[in-house]
Amino acid sequence: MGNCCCPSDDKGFQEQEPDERSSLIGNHPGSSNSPRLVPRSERTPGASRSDSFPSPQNHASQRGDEQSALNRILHQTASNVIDVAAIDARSMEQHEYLDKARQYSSKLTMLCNKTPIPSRPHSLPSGVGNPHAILSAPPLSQADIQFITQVADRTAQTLKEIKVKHKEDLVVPFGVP
Amino acid sequence: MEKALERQLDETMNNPGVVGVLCADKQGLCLGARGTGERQTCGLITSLAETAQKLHPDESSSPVISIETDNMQILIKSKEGITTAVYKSST
Repeated sequence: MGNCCCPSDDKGFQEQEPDERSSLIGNHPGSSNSPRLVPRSERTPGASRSDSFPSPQNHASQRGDEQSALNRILHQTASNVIDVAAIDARSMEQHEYLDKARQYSSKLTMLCNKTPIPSRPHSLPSGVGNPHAILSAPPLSQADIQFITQVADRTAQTLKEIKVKHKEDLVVPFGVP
Repeated sequence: MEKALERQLDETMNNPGVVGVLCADKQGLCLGARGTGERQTCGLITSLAETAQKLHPDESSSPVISIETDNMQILIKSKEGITTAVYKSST
């Protein structure tokens, strides 16, 4: 996944410094001082460009120039390529990651405080940590129910029988001869 | 006058497993206490009994409330405005 941005601006091509399309030898026979454009059809894969330069004494220097030209092509192509995948895969810095995590958590806390969480209509009290154990526990025994019922009956009956006994006068005269 | 009630509470304490008894009127006033039953909790127990009664307002008799802890069980029931709580040991 990548995007290659080729230099589309071919204007001023001849005024720029020589590139892959310019002739390696300026005074090539049949060429002027301007760089020679090599037709695309001539550049067959595997064929060396030195084949078009028959001069044997310049062969070594031509090879070096060719190598530098190829390196320049490579560098220029590499500089024009924007590797999107590599940008995406760029690992986040640790402090950047921590900053983002702190920012998100603070925003989340702010939003949670702002909007109350809707409570479920039939939720158990929060004190019940394990409702299964409580709901599956055996119910209250019949003996206990009868016992507390009898005690409550007797207590109520006993209290009903409480009567205030009048023993002495409510009004007591003090110091009255 | 209240000797009958005290005797009644003592008799309840003699039952096996009973470690405390409380008795309160409809305002939460403590009428008698024995054993582990604390007089300060009479108001809470009366309130619990009233709240439980509201779960079944059509029921003629008040419900029996059972509160279980790790080592104790509290049975609560109201009758004619008098709330009685019995503390039973679980062991």
